[in-house]
Amino acid sequence: MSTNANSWNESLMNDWADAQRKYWDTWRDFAGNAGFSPFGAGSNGQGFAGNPFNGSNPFAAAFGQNPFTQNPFNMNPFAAASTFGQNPFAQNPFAQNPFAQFGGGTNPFTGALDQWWASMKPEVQGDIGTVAQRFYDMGKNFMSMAEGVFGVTAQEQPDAAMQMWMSSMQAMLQQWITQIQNNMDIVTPDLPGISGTTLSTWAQFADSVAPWLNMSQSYLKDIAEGHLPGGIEMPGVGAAQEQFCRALSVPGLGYNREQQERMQALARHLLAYHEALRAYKLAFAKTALASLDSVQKRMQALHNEGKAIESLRALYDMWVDASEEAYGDFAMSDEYQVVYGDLVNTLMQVRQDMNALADQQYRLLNLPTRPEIDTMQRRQQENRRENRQLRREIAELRAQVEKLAKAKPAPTAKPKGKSNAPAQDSLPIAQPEDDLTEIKGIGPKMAEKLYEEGIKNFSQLAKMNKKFAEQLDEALKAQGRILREDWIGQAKKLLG
Amino acid sequence: MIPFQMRPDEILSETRGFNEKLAKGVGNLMDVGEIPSGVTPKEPVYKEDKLVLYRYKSEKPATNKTPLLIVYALVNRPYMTDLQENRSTIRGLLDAGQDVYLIDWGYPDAADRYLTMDDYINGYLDRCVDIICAHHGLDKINVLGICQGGAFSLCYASTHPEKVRNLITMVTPVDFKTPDNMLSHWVQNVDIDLLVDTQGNIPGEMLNWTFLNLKPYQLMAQKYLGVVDLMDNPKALKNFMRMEKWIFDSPDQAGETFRQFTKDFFQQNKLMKGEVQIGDYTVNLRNVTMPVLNVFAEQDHLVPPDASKALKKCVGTKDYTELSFPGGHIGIYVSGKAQKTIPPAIGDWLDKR
Repeated sequence: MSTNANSWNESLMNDWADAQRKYWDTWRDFAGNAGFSPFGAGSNGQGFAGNPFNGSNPFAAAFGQNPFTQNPFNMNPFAAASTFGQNPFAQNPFAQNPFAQFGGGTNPFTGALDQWWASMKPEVQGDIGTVAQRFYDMGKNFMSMAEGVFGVTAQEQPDAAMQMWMSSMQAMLQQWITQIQNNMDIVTPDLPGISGTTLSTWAQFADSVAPWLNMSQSYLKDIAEGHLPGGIEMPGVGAAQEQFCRALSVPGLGYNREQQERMQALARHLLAYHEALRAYKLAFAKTALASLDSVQKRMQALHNEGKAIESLRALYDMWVDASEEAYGDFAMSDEYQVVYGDLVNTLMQVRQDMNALADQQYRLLNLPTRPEIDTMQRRQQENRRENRQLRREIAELRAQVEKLAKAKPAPTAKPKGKSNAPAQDSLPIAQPEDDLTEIKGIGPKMAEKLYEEGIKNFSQLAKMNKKFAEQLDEALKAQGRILREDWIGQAKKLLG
Repeated sequence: MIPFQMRPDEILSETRGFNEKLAKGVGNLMDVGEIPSGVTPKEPVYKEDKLVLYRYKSEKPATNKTPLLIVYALVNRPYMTDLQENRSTIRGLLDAGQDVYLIDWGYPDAADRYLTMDDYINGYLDRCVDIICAHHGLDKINVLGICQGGAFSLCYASTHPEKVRNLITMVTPVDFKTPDNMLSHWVQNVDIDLLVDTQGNIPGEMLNWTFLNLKPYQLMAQKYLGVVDLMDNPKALKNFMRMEKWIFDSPDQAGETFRQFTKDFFQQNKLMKGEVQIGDYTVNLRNVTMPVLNVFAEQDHLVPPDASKALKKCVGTKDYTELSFPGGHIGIYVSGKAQKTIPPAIGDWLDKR
C-alpha cells in the first residue's frame, strides 16, 4: 500500500478540510434552525462569527505542527465531570473521544467545536437537545476516528503507522498502570476501553454526590496540617499513609472534640475512597489492555482468513465488539464485584460524613435537618399505612354488621291485639342503609366515602338535585362521575 | 499485520456520505415534533398519591369479560407498552379482545422515600385490583406483570390468590442468581443499607446508567451511528425518538422499596426460597395456584432467560405455560415480530381460561 503516499496530496487535504467544514456547518445549521444564536454578536463573549474555520485550513496548519506528537493525556474526565453539577448523568460519557488517539493526534477541530457546542448546548432544551447531544458526541468520535485513519493512510507505510499507533496505546496504558500503582496518576488517559465506560460514568456520579471530591487530596492535606505540627505531605502508599491514618485516630480533645472526631472520620473515609478508586482504575486499565489485545487478535484473525476491513464503519464496529467483549468478561469477574462494591461503599461513607457535617451546621442555625425530616416522613408513612388498615377493617366490620342485620328475621307485624304496645317499639329506626355498590360506578371505597358524607341509601341519592350532586362530587373527588354515570337515575330505578 | 485497506479518497467519500446523512438527519430532528408518552386513548379511573390507574379505550367491546391489569416496573415508564400505533402491546391486547387496565406509578419524590414494597403491593396494587373488581362485579381479575412489576405480581398473586384469576409474567426475574446475571453480580458487594440510608431515594439516572453500562459501547455510542443511516426517513427518526425518550425517562425509586428489592431479591434470592416478607405476608410461590403464562426474551441482557424460566419449578399451579420470544428485553414489546405474535398469544391463552 505504498501507493498511498502518491494518492495523498494537497488537493485531498483540501477536500478533507472541506468535509470537516461541512460537518461543522451541520451543527451550526442545527443551532440556527432551532432558534439559538450561539454566534450572537458578543452575546457569549466568544467572538465567533459563523464557522471559525472559514478562510483558513486548520487541518493543514495542524499537519504543519505534526499533530502526531500531541500529549495523549489531554483529557481528564474527572475534571470535566465537575461541570455536570445539576444532572450528572445528562452527559454522554462517550463525550471523551475514545478515538482521539487514532493516528496519534488531537483533532484540531474538536477543541473549537467543543467550545462552540458548550456555548450553545445550555439553550437546547428538552428531548431534542439531549438527543442532539448524543448524536453530537457520536459524530465527533466517528469524525475523529476518520481523521485519524486518514492521517495514517497519509504515511509512507500505513500498515506500519497503524501498528505503531497500537503499540503506542499499549505503552500508554502500561504507563498509566505504573502511575496508578505508585499513586501518581493525575489524569485518566483518554483511550478506548477507558473513557466512555463505567469509569467515567462513575466519576460523574461520584462528583454529583460529593462535588468537592476532586479537591479532596488538598483537603486531606489541610486536615493533616491541622492535626500534625509542622504539617504532613499528602500520604501516598506504604509508611506515609499508615502514619497519616494513625494521626487521624488520635482522640479528639477539648470542647470541640466531636467536630474534631467527625473531621478525622471524614479524612479516614476519604482515604478509603481514594484507595478504592485506585483499585477500580487499576482493574479498568488492565481491561483496556485486554480490549486492545482483543482488537489485535481480531485483526490477526481477519488477516489470516485473507479478509480486510474495508470501511471506517467496519473498523468502528469491530472496535466496539472487541471492547464490549473484554468489558463483559471484566464486568462478570470476581475482581469487578469487589472493586465496584468497594467504590460505591466508600463513596457513600464519605457522603454520609458530609451529610452529618452539614446537619451539624443546620442545627446551629436552627434549621431542620435531614434526620428530622426523615423521622417525620417515616412516621407519616406509618400513620398512612395504619390508617388504610383501619379503614379496611372498618369496611369489613361494617359489611359483617350489614350481613348480620339482613340475616335477622324482619320484624313481623304486631298482633292487632297489642295496640297498646310501649311507645319505644314504634320509634323510627335509624335511616335505612342500602348497599350503594349496587349502583354501577360505586365500588366499596366510594361507598365508604359516601357513607362518611352521610349518604347511606338510594333514596338520599335519588333526591339529589344537580347542584348538590356537583358539590358532593367535589367533596368525593369523584371527577364528575356522579352525573356522568347517572347515580341519581340509577338510584331512582333501584327504588322502583 | 493490520488488515485495513482503505485509500484516503475512500475514507473521504465514506466520511462525506456520513456527513450528508447526518446533516439531513439533524435537520429532520428539528421537525420531529412532540413525542407522546403513549398513543392509545385511555381514561384515568382511579388516583391515589402519584399513582393513576388507567383503562384503555377500545374501538370494539372486549370479548373477554375478565379485565386485564398491567403492572409495570417502577424503573422506567409504562408507555414502553404503547410506544407507537403499530408497535403497541396494549393495542395488540385490545385487538385481542381484552379489557386493559394499567397502573402508572408516577414519579416518586423525596417525600415518598418510605414507601415500602408492602405499600406498593398490599397497598396500591391491592386497591387497584379491588377497584377493578368492584367496577366489574367480579371477585378476581387477570394480572400481567412486567419485569420488576412481574416480580411484584408474583408476590401479589401468591399472597392474594383469591383475587387473581390468571397470571402472566413478562421478562420477569425469579432466580436472581443465575451465572449470567450481570446486574446481580455487580450488586452483591454493595452495602445497600449504607446506600439507601445515605441517598434516600435512588436516582433514576443512576439506575438508568447502570443498565446502559451493561453494554456501554453498543448502547451509548454504536447505536447512534447506526441511526444515522435511517435519519433521512422522518417516520423512522420519530420512532427512534420515541424509544430514546423512553430510555432516558427514569423515575427515582423509593428508597425503602429499593432496599428490600435489592437485598431480598438480588442479594439473597429470597423469592426462590419462599422467604420474602411483605408486610403481614410471607411470599411462597407455591401459593401461585392460578394458571400462569411466563413470557421471556431469549436475548434479554437485563433479565436472562434462565432467571425467568426458574419460575416453572417454583409455582404451585399445574397450568403453567412458557412462551419464549427470539429478541431482547425491549424488543419483546416493540419489535414488529413481537407485535404480531405476543399480544395475540396472550389473548388466546387468556380466552381459554
